[in-house]
Amino acid sequence: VSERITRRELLERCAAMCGGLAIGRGPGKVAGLAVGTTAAQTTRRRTSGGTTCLEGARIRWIVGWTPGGGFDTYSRLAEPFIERALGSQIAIDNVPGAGGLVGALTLSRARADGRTLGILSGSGFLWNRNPGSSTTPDLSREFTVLARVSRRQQVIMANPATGVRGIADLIGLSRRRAIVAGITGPDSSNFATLAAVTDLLGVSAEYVAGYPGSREVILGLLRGDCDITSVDIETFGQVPDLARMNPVLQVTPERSADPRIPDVPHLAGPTGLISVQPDLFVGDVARARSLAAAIAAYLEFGRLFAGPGGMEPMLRDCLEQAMYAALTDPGFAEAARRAGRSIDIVAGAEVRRGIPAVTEAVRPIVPVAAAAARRIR
Amino acid sequence: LTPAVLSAAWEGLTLVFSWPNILYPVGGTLVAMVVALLPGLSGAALMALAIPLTFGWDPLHVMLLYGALLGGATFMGSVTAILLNIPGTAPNAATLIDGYPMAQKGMARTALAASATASALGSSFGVILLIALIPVVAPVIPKIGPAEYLLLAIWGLLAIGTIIRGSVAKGLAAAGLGLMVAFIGFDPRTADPRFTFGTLYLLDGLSVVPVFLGIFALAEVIDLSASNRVTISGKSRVEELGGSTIDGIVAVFHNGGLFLRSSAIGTVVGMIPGLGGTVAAFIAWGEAARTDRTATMGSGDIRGVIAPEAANDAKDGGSLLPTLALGIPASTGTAVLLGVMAIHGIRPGQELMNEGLSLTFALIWSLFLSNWITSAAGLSVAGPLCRLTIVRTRRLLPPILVLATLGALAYRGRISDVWVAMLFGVTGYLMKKHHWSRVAFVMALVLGSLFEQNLQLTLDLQRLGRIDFWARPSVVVLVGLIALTTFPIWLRRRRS
Repeated sequence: VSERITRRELLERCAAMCGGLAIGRGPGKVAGLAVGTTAAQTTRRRTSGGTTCLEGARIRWIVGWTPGGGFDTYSRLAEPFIERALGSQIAIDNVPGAGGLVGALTLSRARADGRTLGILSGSGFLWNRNPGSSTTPDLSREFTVLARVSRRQQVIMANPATGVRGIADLIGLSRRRAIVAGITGPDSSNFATLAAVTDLLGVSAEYVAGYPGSREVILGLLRGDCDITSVDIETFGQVPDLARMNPVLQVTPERSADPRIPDVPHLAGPTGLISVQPDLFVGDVARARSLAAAIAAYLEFGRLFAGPGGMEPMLRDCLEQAMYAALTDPGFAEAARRAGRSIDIVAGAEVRRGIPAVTEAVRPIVPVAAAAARRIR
Repeated sequence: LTPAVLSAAWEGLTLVFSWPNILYPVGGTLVAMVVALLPGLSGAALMALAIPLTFGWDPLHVMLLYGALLGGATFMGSVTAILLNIPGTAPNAATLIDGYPMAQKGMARTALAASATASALGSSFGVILLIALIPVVAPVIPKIGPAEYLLLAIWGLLAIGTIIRGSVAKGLAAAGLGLMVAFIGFDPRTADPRFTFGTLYLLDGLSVVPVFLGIFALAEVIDLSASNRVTISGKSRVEELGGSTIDGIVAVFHNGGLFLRSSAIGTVVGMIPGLGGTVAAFIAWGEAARTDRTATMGSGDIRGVIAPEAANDAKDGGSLLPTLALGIPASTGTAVLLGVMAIHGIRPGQELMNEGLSLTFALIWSLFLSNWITSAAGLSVAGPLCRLTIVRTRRLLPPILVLATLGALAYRGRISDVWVAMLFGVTGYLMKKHHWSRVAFVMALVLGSLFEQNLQLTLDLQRLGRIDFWARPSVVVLVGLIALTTFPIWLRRRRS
């Protein structure tokens, strides 16, 4: 109506948009008209703010986890904002399996035409965490990182029945018996974190591996299957009973302001335990510092929006701009806040520039995690 | 049931039935029913698709819609399962084991009515138990661990022994084949790939939906094409069809004990995170088969329809318990529900169970209402739908082929799923022709990964001294239950 188009023009638009369904008589025509009008309005709204590189395109958005989890929630929260920024339509495709690996492989093997994008656990592909598989893709070569949406902030949690309230208690307990840590598998990020932290503290750890997901690991911790595990801080908002567990250590370069973990020391950085109380850690101080920095860098890489590797620079820049515009939209920030999800946006170019340095920085974790994984295998 | 709980329940009920709130559960149910009729598309997929639609909605309307989507898809999948041997969703594969043979005997109307009735009453059982047990069971759920899951899997797997007819060797081989297929993909403990032949498709194992569509629906297409059967029921006129809607309804009450057992199994399995409707339906079917003294299960016994349908719908109520009370999803559907709740700032746990109790009840009543709407719809169309069984097979086969293929494709949008469905279509046909038990195969497939995962976890926990297997009361109860349900059958068979 606002464009003063005739009923005939509107019907033709409907036909184009609804695959000819609107052409007909009677109630069907009216229904088609209504659908067509809505579609026309939607298209106008989308194209108004869109970039031109993929305008009108249908994008397959790959999430390597089942619906309802953290990665899926970030994707669905960002979906309308990215659609608006690109002027495209996004269809989210959950391709779960192997801790996100199946989805990542699907993404890396897609055509780099911008029509297949997705979300990745960036830290998951900084090294091959699965020596049994030759298929782990390389982050810098097989993906085109377009933005970082959030970093991961993990906390080592202990079951109160163990009496562990802090790092000193954990070390004390490990002198009496091996600490039991719960993980999903040796290819998971909570395993890498736990392997590195226990190695730093000189704590002997045994692993209970094979829980189907991170919430099941938390359930195992609540039940007493294990003494400790590593959880994302934002999980506190999702699993209320976590508040009954004892937070022991923030695996972050600076202390989180989250009120649910007050007075919990953090590991890395100038104010971290590694600098303040280096005597808590075993072995060479320089090695301990580099390992602590490696864990922090590893988790900092967080959740990434990406496409397949080898994308044309013009297309990549266009997508990157659109992603950045979408993720810095105040509406997205508000939606994430309501959902209890932290965001920490970094532009794709910056992330890509940092990949070689981070890959180098996380190198100290690789032998530590591999040694721990061998014990599970 | 304190006055506060009753008051919240009443408030939730009035919220659901007030205008325009009622539109959300009714609309959601209708959409879920249509989607569930298309094989391969589950309620969880629909729930995920609907998330962007709800941005900006009032939390109450979100809960009403998702309650309906959670409950609306469970029954309709059994319609195609009974009539065409096509499981609408994975749990309906347990229904078709007896439902389709009933249709072949001209009793589709009875089977559909029994399925609808068991579904509605089963969901009501689950919801009532949910309301009654929230304060009692919520603290107990986290205590149920891998040892108990392992015993549940063993209980289900043992039922295979009772359903094997004819050659025991062939039955066990079929079950072994099912277990082998279940073990494809990453080792849950070491994350090493197994039997994947270097393919990306097999990395996470074979999904049960294309396998079910192949082994039942496509195998049936091949079998019907190869046979000279003119119609599915062998009858050509409606008057020749047996059974009635009333018979189906009455059968549920006639088998009240089985219905209650199956609903209890469904609710308990639903409460346990990670198991879901398929496991519930197959364990309930296995339990019905175990208590079958007539050896008619698997060949068109109405108890084989009642048990999985009651369990599958009862599990919805049970699955809400850990989801709402603990924030731990019990199934894919409730995982999506948790995600949506998070997006709308609704936090599970004490807050939702106290201050937000009326919102919780709005969700529960919406689920309750959607189950009754779908079942009422099922009962009303049972008569007309059973006419499909008198349509000539040469006319019916192309639509079945298209539906099953589309279902495999629609499930995840991957063409590889279609090839897998076809491969298992041929396998299923050969198994049927050479009297290898397809039911043993699918039961082993469904329970295999549950068994393996929890066997490894239990062994680890026992080795590390985290549990004392035989000192756990729940383990003793479950072992006793297994012995009580299995030993008499073994004894009876030995005597006979």
